[in-house]
Amino acid sequence: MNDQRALLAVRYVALTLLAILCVGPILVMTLTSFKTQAQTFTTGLSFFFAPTMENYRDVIFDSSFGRYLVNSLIVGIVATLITLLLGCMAAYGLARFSFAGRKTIAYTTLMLRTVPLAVIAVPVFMIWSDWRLTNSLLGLILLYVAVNLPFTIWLLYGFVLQVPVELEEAAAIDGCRPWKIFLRIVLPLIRPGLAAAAIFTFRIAWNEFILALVLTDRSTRTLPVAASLFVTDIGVEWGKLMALASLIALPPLAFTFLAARQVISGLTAGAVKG
Amino acid sequence: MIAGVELINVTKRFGENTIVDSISLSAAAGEFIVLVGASGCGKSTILRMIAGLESVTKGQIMIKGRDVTQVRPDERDIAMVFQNYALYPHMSVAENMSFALTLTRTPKDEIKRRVGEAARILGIEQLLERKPKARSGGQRQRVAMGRAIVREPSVFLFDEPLSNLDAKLRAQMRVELALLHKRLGKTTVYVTHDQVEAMTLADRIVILDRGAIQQIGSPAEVFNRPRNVFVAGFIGSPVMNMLKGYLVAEDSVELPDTGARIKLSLPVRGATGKPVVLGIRPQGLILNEGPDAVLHMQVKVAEYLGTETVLNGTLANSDEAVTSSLNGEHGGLAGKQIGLSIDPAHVHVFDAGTGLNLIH
Repeated sequence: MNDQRALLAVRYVALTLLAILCVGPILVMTLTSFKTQAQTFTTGLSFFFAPTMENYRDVIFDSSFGRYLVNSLIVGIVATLITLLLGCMAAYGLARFSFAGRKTIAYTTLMLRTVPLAVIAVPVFMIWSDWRLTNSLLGLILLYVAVNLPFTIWLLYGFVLQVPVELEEAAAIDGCRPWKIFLRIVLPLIRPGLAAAAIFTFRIAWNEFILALVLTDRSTRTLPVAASLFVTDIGVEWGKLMALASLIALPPLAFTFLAARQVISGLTAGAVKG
Repeated sequence: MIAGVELINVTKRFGENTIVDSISLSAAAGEFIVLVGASGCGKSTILRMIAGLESVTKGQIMIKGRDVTQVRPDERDIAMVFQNYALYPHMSVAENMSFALTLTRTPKDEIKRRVGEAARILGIEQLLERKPKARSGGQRQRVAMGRAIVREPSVFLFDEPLSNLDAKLRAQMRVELALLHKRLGKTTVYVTHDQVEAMTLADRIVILDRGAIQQIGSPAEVFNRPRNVFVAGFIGSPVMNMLKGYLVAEDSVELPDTGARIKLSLPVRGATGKPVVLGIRPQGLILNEGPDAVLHMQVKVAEYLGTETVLNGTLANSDEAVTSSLNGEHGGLAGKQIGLSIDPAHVHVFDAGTGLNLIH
């Protein structure tokens, strides 16, 4: 009995440490965003200080903030939409049509995902320069689609496989052509997968820094790149950096919250069989 | 008269494997045909070819006199009920039932009328606005049938529709299916591996083995006059006894191990000494404790089923398995040796080589 209690205690301690590890940096970021530059260094990690909205005011009313926000939104949303569109069709093709190398493709797509983004930065920059895609939102969107597509295909492939073929056959007898079967039967049923893929894709497109830094300029910059501008030759403007970082974290949070409900409702929707 | 469904020399191959081998079959309009056989016999493939879900390698499929071999499933004037129901989980019961009609842009009030009527026939009116996922197996099966009914097709196709239900519900749905067929009078092709479903529902049963038709006939025909050993062994419960023997006269068979001579009700073709398989239904082996018993059986297990007792054992002086089904309670016979006489009406003689019935 005592052993079990001890084990429980150990578990709780471990979980608490993990939670601190996860939440700690976010907490520090948020706290720092409400401090003046001076307070940042004098108060340390203390909760006791006179909060200021000065950093947020400076960041939001900066003349370029609006443009960077729009850039980030366009890149994030368009890349996500294109990735889902191509991903669901590719996944369906892999799951349902038989052609040479199908299985191999289905299982190796994910390997592309293991390549670190920093590794491809230089080759991508050279190719994109060649194709005149640098310093454009289109270039960034294309890149994020390419980066996210393998995972999305792999994820949705699993979801399509779970849709019983009989449903598609029943729909064919009911009068659906292949496209209609895909749109009216398959897509609604893999909605949880689409939501999960959307969370994943949007988060990467929104947060990605290194490639965005390499491929954008003054007018096409995204928010993470803009945040890096607070790291200057004469020092780091911690308050503003943290304020912008806090703002950047909000849309994915909201998006994840909304999309996650789709994932959960889908998971409980239940199997088709008795 | 134009047949409801007609298959003309239909063959299906997957690569080198011949799944269905040149089958010809005709179901009259309004007829209830049951395809029965062990798994892998090709029965589901035949159904799927009629539905248009599987291409035909060779041959022709006609529905109401029209060649539909190359026609898309939705234009064949058929409706199909799947084994796992295949209800669209993201649609309500009413939407499931009306899906085909909305695709053909049927007027709303017509859809409502047909869905309402089908729901009334099947007793699922209270479920119409619900999603199918939380419904019981029986209710989902009804919804699947409702989806077929609202289309008012010429032909109904059923692919083992009751196999996911428990025994009690299966018996109930079987009766409902029979009533439904009587009411709608549509040509029906029904696939099952369950001989009870086949015997109770069918106007005619088609017994399949390894992609070929073994016999087509009414339930009584296939039971009383099985064309060959396969049909005899497949239809009837418990399974028919098959004993090796040889002809000693045109109306007499001798079993080599026991030396027993069995008199047949009708003379058979074949020379004396010809090896045969003697098929005796378990119901044809009658308890006989007198001196004129033809066979002696060592009873190993006695299964009491209420109205009958099924005795499992071997022939005395032989290791050939035999089963006898006796009326009433005979549990006390387990472990004993008993005498049996034979009812000639339940005896069949098959050619040991070809398996064909030599009497009928």
